[in-house]
Amino acid sequence: MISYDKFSLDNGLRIVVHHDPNTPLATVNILYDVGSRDESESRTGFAHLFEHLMFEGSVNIPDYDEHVHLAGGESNAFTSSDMTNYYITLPVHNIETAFWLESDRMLSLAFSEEALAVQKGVVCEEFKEHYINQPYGDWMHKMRALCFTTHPYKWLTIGKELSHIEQATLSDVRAFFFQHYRPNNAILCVAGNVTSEQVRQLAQKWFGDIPPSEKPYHRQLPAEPAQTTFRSQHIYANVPIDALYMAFHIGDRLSPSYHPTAFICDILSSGASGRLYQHLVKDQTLFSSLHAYSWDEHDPGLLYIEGKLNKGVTLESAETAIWHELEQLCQMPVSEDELGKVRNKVEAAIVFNEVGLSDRAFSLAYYELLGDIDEINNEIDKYLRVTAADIQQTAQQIFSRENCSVLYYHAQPPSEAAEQNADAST
Amino acid sequence: MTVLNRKKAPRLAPPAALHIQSPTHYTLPNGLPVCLFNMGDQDVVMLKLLFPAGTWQESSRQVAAFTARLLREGTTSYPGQTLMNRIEYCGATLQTKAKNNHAEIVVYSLTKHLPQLLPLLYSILTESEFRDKELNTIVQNAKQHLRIQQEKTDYLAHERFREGLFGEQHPYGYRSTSDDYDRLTRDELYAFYQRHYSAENCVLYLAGKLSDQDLQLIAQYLGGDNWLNQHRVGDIAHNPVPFVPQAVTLHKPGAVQAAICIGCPMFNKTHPDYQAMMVLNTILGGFFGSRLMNNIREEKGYTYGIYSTLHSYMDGGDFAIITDVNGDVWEDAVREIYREMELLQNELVPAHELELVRNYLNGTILSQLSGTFNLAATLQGILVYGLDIDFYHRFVETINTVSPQQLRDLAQRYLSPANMLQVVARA
Repeated sequence: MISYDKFSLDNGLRIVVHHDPNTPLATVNILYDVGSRDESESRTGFAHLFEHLMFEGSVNIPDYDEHVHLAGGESNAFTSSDMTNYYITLPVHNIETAFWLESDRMLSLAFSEEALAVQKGVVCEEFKEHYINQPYGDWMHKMRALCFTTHPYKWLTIGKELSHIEQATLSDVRAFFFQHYRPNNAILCVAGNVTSEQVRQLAQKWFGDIPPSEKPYHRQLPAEPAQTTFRSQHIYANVPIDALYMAFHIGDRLSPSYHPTAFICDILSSGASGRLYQHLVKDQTLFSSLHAYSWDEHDPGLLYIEGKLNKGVTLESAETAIWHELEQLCQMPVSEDELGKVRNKVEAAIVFNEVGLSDRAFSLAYYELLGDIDEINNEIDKYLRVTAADIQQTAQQIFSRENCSVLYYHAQPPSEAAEQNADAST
Repeated sequence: MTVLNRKKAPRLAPPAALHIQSPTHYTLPNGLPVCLFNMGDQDVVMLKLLFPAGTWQESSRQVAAFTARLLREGTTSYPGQTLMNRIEYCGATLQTKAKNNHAEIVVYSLTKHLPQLLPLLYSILTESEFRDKELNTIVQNAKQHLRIQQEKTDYLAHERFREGLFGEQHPYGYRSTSDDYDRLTRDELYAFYQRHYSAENCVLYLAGKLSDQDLQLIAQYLGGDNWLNQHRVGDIAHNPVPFVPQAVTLHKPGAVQAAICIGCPMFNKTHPDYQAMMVLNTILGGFFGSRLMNNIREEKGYTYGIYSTLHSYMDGGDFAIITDVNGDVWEDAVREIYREMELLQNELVPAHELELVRNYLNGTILSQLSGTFNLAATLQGILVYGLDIDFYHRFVETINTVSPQQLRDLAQRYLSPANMLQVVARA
């Protein structure tokens, strides 16, 4: 149970206050309602590149990080397909510094050519570190492109390709900022030993005079048409072992299938007692690792299954074994024991997530973004209401062949890999 | 109405005096020492058993790691997968792992599930099975994982770096091969378990919101004589090879980034210079505002991140600068890393920069000591060295008083580019 207070400023900035008297720290969290799904397909990776530029100085404060550190604080941010989140955690007696810094970078950035050039380099290295200079590093790019024909989830937040990041211009940056980084597109959550009245005064003082956007952004993303046929792609690469990747379309974050889908992932793959691990890694020893999961995406996203094969196992037999497990979920209701397990797991996960101050601050902002902050304390009940029949029904909706896309990732020595891929693309 | 002056920073308050909530220390009837952090608002608990059963104590390579790993694979009363099914039924997580000088068994759970979990934990401590079937699967999976790791430049560089610091036979330095995994036997692991995982070799850390009843239950399961083994693990000596500074290149064809490790052996937390070195390291590469981060990332855009760290182990430690950089500019990155070390040796740290680092570190310590689990983890990190919470009071004192001259002297003594091992894994 997380307590909070909520109000808005005249410019549309929504403010959430969470009072915790037992910590000497405070977290100031700002969530902007913009993510990589709001990019155009020819300029991907931009929301994330922009997040980097938010640390490169604002109109009145050239050195953001320096002031965070002088105040004894730590700051970071992340970008996803759906949102961009920034936070500072610092000693509570320096909380006004966070208001000063965050309000100035909402007012306007410095927009420096040098900073843009450097951060393009940094983001390109981030891209390489996570997606190129890693065995199998490109699989998620390829999978999203295979599963989505229309919706912007077809590219990853880091961007579709390095060239998109390299081509970004300062005028792109400026336009993006004034479209999305306005008070009426943001949620400010303050957590710590502070009262609502203190936060109200500080917020009015520092954020009150920032104008809202003249033309508010209305998100109108093209819906992904239902997938009607099985899709697959073979990849030949210089990796040590074969890997299998499967993806299935699932409902959106607010759909009734969200909680059953989360349970399906847990039943298949949570910890050491998940079905996939116990049956296919331990009993049948087909895989050396195997996981099922979904990201909590706002629009209809994907449920992924990824596995590394053991020596002597073919991709075909590995896939067949997974289908068998998925069919079991569709044909038989889960046992009381399994249902009890995933219920207990989610209850523990929700309580543990309330331990950290910054986690609480982010969660509050996140539920407000989803549409109704009150739901933060109803989530556990929604999970506990899920029945075995709900799980079976949701499994039947998800695990059909026409709703599935598969990447067959073949281990090949370097010379052969180049040749095979040339063949595959013709 | 006054106009807001946005160019002027709000006034900063001086760091508040450090208030550390001390843990309670007591002993169970079988002699097991307990360190209790009974605090927090949520009904959660962390229960951690620490044993001298790390790489340092193992009889041959990988024995410590696989012994710890197999503790999750079944007991006489809860054979095979039954064990983890029961634990995970409670929504709890069980971690078992070996580190350099210790192995640990850690349970995170809602407090209300303790009555179901404690018999399971007790069973792990007294009657783990170590069956060949599970060992074989775990070994095969580990070998597959190793094959993937060996394709990564950062893994290759880091492994070679540790070997260079401590030696290829040293528990902190050896590099594992598939053959090491193949040589493991069930009997050797079981013997290691029997010898090391006993009450007289254990320390129990408890953190969370615990009632007297909870504590009694824990004492009931873990305080008995039946998991004593009449053997205390003694001191073991391993001497690192004499350190040889050198530059090593590892080639990984096709790599688009170069993985860089630069560093040298270093003392651990018990050394009188450790705390001042922490300040120096923070300035060089210990946080987002460090000199290395500013130079290599924020000025040149060569990398996503670069950090330097003082790793403290029970027997020594190391100083390490670690980064992945654009493969085309690795030479320039290496040059700049050494230049930053030389600057610290030759010039005094400016007052403004030192003030910033002082404030930052004060905030970091506050954060590390806030929240039940943070506090428990942080204090465990000094208690295992025989240090007490006074360490943090002295640390704050050092942070606030260390002079630019002292920092320059430390850089001259410990951060000479000529005394570094440099490993670069690249195309």
